[in-house]
Amino acid sequence: MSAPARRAQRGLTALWAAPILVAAALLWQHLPDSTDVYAPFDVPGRFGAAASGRSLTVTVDDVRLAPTVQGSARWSMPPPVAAGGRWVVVRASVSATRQTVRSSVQLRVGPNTYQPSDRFPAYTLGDRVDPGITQHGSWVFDVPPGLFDPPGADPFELLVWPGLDERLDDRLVINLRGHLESESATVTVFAPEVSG
Amino acid sequence: MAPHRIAALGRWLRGELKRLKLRHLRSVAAGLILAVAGLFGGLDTVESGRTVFAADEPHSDGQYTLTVARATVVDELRAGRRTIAPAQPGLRYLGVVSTVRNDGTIPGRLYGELRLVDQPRSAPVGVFRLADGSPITQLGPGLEETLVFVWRIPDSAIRPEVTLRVARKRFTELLVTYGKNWVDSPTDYAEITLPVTIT
Repeated sequence: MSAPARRAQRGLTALWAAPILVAAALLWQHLPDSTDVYAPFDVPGRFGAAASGRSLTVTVDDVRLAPTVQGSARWSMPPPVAAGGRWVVVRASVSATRQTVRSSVQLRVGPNTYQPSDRFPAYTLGDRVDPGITQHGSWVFDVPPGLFDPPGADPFELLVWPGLDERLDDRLVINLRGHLESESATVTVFAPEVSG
Repeated sequence: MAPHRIAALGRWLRGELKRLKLRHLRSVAAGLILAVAGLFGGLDTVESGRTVFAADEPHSDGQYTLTVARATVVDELRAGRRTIAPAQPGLRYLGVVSTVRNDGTIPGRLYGELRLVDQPRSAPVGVFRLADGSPITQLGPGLEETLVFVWRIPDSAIRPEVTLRVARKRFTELLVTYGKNWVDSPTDYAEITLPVTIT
């Protein structure tokens, strides 16, 4: 190959390399992150109906917004507790489908996500769920009331999944929008009950 | 692109490069390296270092806005008639009162939000709500609470002033576990020095 031809070949290589480099950079900037790659498989559920995934079945039958919540049990009745924002009390029934699992729960309100409050440990649903035994109880979340200003929070949904880590597993997503009832008085939560 | 045009472009480039001296070529190489690094995020803004904030002055670490009010040393921790931490010989409790607001979109962990500086013999006791002394481990997004951060420190380590450190935080994808969360910067932080009231 003559010298001019070799030089032209090198120029051609450089011209091909530049757009490949730019394309690689663009691709690198838009790669899916691990939260997308390992995302859970959402199982949609409705208020008042049983939502069932691979490991858990959850039925939400009541959602209330209240300024204070009081725990109640046969052995004690502590004073009402005021929320930092407002309490969202979600009453639900939970059971496992095949084996004992530890459940995790979150409430998604608009852009924000909330975990159950740690203020009512004896009066809210625990994290251990057994097959054939249904627990009836509540989860209580502390949420800024401004999120419920008209037209209301969207999305407003309860997320329940087995284990601590929801990646690549079923996650129940129960839509609560349109079912929130506001209370001006104290809402009472009871220690969970079980039925076989 | 037609071959004759590529050849013409190559000739022009070679002509331009021949006119450049070695130091110019270095600049061109550095520019090219910077451009490619920039394409892959290598030129992202990096803030580093220490900043200082004052009492009663809101400070944002990215995740929380804190307004630190005061520091007090006491013999024991009580909430009404309930004892949270009893008096112990040779030890006292340092409490720092601060308002904390979660500015993120996920629940935030409070443990380790304030760190004592130059108190190697101190041990964190916990974080409590000032209103009723109840322990608090996490704060939901959009919520604000007035909290007391408590440490156990030896009598001999009590000084008239205390310095606290708040790490700068970045919301990022987690590398080991799943999801995204706020992660402390190893280099960026803010410090506040408070007078200590000893009771």
